[in-house]
Amino acid sequence: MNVVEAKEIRKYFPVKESIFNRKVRVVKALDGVDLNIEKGQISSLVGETGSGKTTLGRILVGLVEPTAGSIKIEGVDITSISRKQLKEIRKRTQIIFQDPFSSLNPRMKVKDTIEEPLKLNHIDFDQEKIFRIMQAVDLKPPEDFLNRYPHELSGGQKQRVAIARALVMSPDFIVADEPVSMLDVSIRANFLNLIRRLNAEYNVSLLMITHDVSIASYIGKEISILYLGKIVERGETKEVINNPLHPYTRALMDAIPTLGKKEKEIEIKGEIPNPINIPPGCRFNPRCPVAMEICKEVEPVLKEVGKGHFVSCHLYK
Amino acid sequence: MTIIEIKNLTVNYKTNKGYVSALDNISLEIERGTVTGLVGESGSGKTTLGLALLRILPPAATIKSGEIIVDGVDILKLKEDEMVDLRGKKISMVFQGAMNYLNPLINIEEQVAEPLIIHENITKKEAIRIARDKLALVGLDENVWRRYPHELSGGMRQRVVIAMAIVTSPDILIADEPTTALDVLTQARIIKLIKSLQKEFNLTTIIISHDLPMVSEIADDIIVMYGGKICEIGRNEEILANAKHPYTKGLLASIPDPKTPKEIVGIPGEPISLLNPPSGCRFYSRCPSARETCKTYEYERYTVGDGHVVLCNLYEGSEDECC
Repeated sequence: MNVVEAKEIRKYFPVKESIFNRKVRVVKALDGVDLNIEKGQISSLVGETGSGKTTLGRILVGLVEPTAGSIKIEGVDITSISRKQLKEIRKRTQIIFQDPFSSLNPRMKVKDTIEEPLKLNHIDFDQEKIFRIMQAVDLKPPEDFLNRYPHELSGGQKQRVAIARALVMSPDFIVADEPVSMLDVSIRANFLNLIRRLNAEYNVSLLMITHDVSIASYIGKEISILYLGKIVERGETKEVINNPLHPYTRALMDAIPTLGKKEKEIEIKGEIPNPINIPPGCRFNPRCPVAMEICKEVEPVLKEVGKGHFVSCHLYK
Repeated sequence: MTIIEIKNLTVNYKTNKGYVSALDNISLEIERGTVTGLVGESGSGKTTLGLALLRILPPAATIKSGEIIVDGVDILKLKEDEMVDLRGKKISMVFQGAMNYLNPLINIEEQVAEPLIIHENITKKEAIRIARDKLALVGLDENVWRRYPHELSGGMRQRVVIAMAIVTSPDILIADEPTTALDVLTQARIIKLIKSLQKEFNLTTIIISHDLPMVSEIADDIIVMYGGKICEIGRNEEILANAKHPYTKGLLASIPDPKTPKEIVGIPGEPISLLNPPSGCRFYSRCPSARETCKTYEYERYTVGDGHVVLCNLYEGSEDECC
């Protein structure tokens, strides 16, 4: 069963060229994305800066309204329900933001931060519940942390508070938007293991948004590669890592730094273009080392080429 | 041949809560023409060490003791105007995030030429000619030379900053987190560029980074720092295959590798605060192999292999020979 079913998600942001110019252009942050997340599973979403991964995460928890498309959370389409119903759904979907240094209110104690979502939703709770959650996220012993302010916590501890705040609502689904990118390497591993443990213990589904393929491969059962607002490859993590099909995924895999001295050839040209000027045909064609004539004209569609392994590329028929 | 030798360098920062011990009794040597990776997490003192090499520490910092010998000269004893001659010409630095601080009002060839106009007695025209050569060398072609920073992508701006650092033909290049905030593909290209420049000019290169895998792809030697102290120094291959210090081992165990999946294990606890640090080993509170004696441990260097030095109590008496 899927906890999240997103279909044909589009998000266009209008931008004005300049204050004198009435002409409005659109940034196509997401341009037709399908994403399903199975119940109790961790799925990862990998993309560079500007790929649209954060926008997609925010749309899935109802923080940003999509321009088009439908999102079903536990079977309920959140794009066509009333605000009141949406509020109910939102209790079950939570998000952890990238920067723990700015996502916590500096004037709220740890205790108040974790309790706030419960209070806002008029849910009864006792001290013991808060303690349990804090212990679950390794803020131990809870008494030591309850009355601290964010500035009295380290980066790792702040991010644990952010998880506790998400977890206290017993959500079905959590979006974690680059939760470890601001943390030191030695702290990062513990945090990733914590996420894995919580996923198993609480049976909560998770979307891990990251730019780092090694993190995605460690934590996600499924992986989706996003490029310029479209998913270019998706499948079981093991399969995609060991048998990457899309030229972009291959380049990403080659580029990940791994331990040991080596010389690398990077075949991909240039950098991700501005989503105002999406190239015609396959959006990856100007950078692709194996682009063909057809790639400049026809946009490929995501199709299944192996069991559960989808790729959007003309190389695969 | 040794080009940089640091002896017992101690640097403190004054704050209103007390002193921060950013570097404590650092000693190291760097060979000419090699790539050294200086690895550590935030607050390990790695950037302070880079700044000390250029003697551009912030005003709150004081060098308590030590010597920094570059090509036989103790730069801590030089007068400021002698130091000005050294910066850029002998030692150059790519600062962390510098690509975001390019002057938005000056086109890039003029910005790259600026160090030449300051450090060498040449005309602006000549300086720009050299700047263009260097821009071409870092992979930026003619059509971007006269552009402004906002017209360039992150990777291109990082190339501009690198061109600026090498325009004065230094012997030593320090790159502080040169790939942070860049996308994976761009990161790989920047690293390749640094390596090719290093080869072409026999540049002694120091890469400061928290990213051990990235550093391990190009470094000849690796220096691991924690809490303002050196943990371990060794050849790259030696450190990866035969790490001795519990912190280095912990770091290696916490790195996921997508191609050979394994369980990763983080280091328990949090990085220590360098504000009034306790005596003894600074890694003590997080170390899985800590002993009682580590609490009062005076840092000693133990040579455990060819050029492999570890500063950890556990290796007392295990060195091959004393130095």
